[in-house]
Amino acid sequence: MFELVFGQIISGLSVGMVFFLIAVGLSMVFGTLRVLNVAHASFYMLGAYLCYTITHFLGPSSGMFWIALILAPIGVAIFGGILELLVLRPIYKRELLYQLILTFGLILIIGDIVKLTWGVQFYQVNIPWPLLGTVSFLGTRLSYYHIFMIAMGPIILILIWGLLHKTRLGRVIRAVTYNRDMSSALGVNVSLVYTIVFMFASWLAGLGGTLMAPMASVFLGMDTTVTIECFIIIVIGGFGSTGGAFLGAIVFGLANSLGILVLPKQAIAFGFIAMAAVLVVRPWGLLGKPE
Amino acid sequence: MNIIGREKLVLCAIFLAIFITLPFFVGGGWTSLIIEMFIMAIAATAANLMTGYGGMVSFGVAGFYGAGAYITALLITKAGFPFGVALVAGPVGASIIALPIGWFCVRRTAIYFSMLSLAFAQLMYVIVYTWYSFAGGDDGIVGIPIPAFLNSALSYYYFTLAIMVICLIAMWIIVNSPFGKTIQALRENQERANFIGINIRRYQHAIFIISSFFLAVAGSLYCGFNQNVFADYMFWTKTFDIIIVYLLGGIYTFIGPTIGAIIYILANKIIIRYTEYWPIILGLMIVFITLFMPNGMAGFIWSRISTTKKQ
Amino acid sequence: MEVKNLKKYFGGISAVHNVTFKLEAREISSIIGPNGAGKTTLFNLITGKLSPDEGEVYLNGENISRLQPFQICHKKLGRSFQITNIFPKLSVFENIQVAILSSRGINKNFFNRADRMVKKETMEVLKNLGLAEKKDVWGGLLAHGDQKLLDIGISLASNPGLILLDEPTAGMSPQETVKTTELVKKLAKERGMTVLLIEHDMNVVFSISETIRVMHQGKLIAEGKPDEIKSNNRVQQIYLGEQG
Repeated sequence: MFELVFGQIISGLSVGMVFFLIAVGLSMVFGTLRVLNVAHASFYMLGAYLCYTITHFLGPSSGMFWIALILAPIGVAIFGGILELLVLRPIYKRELLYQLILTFGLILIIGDIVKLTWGVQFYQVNIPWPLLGTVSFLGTRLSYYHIFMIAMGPIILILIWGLLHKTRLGRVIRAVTYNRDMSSALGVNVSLVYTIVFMFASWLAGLGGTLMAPMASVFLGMDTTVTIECFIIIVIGGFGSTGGAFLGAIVFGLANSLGILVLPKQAIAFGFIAMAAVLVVRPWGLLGKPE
Repeated sequence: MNIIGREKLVLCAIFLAIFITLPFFVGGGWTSLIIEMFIMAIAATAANLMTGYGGMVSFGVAGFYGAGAYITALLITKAGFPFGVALVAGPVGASIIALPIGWFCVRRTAIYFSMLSLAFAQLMYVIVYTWYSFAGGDDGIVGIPIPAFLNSALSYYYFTLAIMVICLIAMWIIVNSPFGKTIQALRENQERANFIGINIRRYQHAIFIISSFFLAVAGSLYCGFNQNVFADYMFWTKTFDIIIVYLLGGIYTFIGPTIGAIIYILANKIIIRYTEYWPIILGLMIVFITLFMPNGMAGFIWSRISTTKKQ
Repeated sequence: MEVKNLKKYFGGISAVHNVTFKLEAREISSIIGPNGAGKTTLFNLITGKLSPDEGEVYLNGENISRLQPFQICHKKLGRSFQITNIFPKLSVFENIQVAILSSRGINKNFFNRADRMVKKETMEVLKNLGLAEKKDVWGGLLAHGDQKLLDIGISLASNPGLILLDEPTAGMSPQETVKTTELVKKLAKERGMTVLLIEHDMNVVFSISETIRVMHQGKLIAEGKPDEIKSNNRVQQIYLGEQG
């Protein structure tokens, strides 16, 4: 019994970390650019596909995964940057509805681009060699890769926090988030900041996809498996809050994996109930700020 | 009757005449297609009551559309109600559901409203998707019987046409009434509306319920058309379909969503015949419309007509 | 209308501090004072946008301190705004019409858009404002001065007994200012309205007010007839000090 629960906790946490990577980018983009990018999960999917392509570039040797871990997110970031310049810029001043629909259109476009490039098969990425296998812990077996995924969460969280609070760029980003017009008046190149933040968010999502690839298959439609969940997370955690995304992702990941043990089919309801509850009681989320 | 300009009235009459005589010129496949357009026109116009007229973007419209369909289906299959009664009960039931949901939703604005309406709709989806014994779960309910006189594409066509005309007229009257003007004032400036004596929440709640009612009419009609219901009818992708339709047509005119419905369904069916890459084409259409034609097709045509008139 | 010991704090700062005064019916008066004196906050407290931390507001003997703006409006209190607050994508006609409809209590459905009764009243208000020819123009497309007039018109449309005008001539040209001042005077006389103005334009203040009240740093520091205020040392100090 304990093994079962513990196993679910581990898998819930590791999936939660991937959700964190995607959600925090979405949250940052909303907080700074004031745009809700529904297509954010598509970057996640792209990351996974790029990971597959890179790892199989010289034959399915496990060593390539680490190269993919570096390159795939960068590739996604570049793609994101181009997208931001071409398509997103014109709609910053528009109402929410148009942003939503435009980015929804992007989901469709990116989805079909992936389909055209890679086809409809499912792909597998192997767990890289150093992380194969399991270790014994408290009487159960823990997979090394799961541990790796769980570790990535706090590492990235610290990375983001460090970026935002300890670097000059971070200070600029926070200034623009707080008051765009004032920052612009003070000489900040707001457009450039927007592009950087968007690329960073895309990088995070791509990283999430890359990390997820060895755990699950790489397939069309993997973006829709996480889209709504990310909304739930940032609503619960608070729009624009990094810590909130982390907290929300853990809560969501655990609630999901443990909920499956209790009420397998209804488990997805918990997320929406939590989302509705937060919106009714405290709409800016657990760690967000009221506007 | 000064509500509708002479030219618009004539145009409506012409289109009505076209729709009435159309089935005699086209095959059964087209007839079914146009029925889908009618149903989508009702749904999109209903959703636009909240968005274009009320300024409230709901992401939960599929929930009420599906609720109408499910209530109708369940009443027929589980309780043996006749089709006519079930068809009316669908929207009525959906409005009852909209009462508490709407109450909560209108207490939030902008993106929070959108997210909350989404959450409620997804909850409805989960209920229906997982409740196998009652609602058929992910199998849905199939083989729903409809009365014999409606059992052909042609008769269902006229049935749907009649209901669409009635619904559109009803919604037209509502948006042009003092109530409708008040809703538009709320869209423009909530604070000012408050200061001229308008109870914001109450009016928004009312339009939420009205919108849900007509969305459910569309859902119930669709249930009768396909003679089935699936949980997908309530899923958020359906909401986006409806939103795309009314954006395509234009949210600031009454007839916009209807035009959007015609274009969307037509484009969908035609393009799917030639390629499996409908999503990317739709995506590009959406991006194009959003960037270059924010007032949708209707707005675009309208501005073209206005400029030519001036010349 | 009566205000008693009104206090409102934002953070640790008192925006309105112990303000007490009484408005007689049909009185036309102004509130003046340097920026940040708390005048608009006072208006917000009276009209229900903010609720007082202490003190009460009475209208015709009724305590309206905790009521919502829409409820207070139905008690025949109207208000215009410092920063123009109209319905931009509705036509000028519709802007006024919707205000009149609301004051009558609106019904749903089955009313013709150009509701007969209200059409007459709407056009009357528009004629008074001088905006009749622009009745089909979208509110948001009007020139600034006309938008302010429209804002005032919306608050007048429901025929209130007491109307609060927040800097009605701000940003207006001299001609528009005169036009607005005359309009307010005329309508006040015709309809027996009580008028309370916030104004910075001293010409307007002195030409129209029977009573002037002066606020400074949240407190009401002087109250009296125009001549008394003109010769009040403290008032002069405040204004000259500000300009100095």
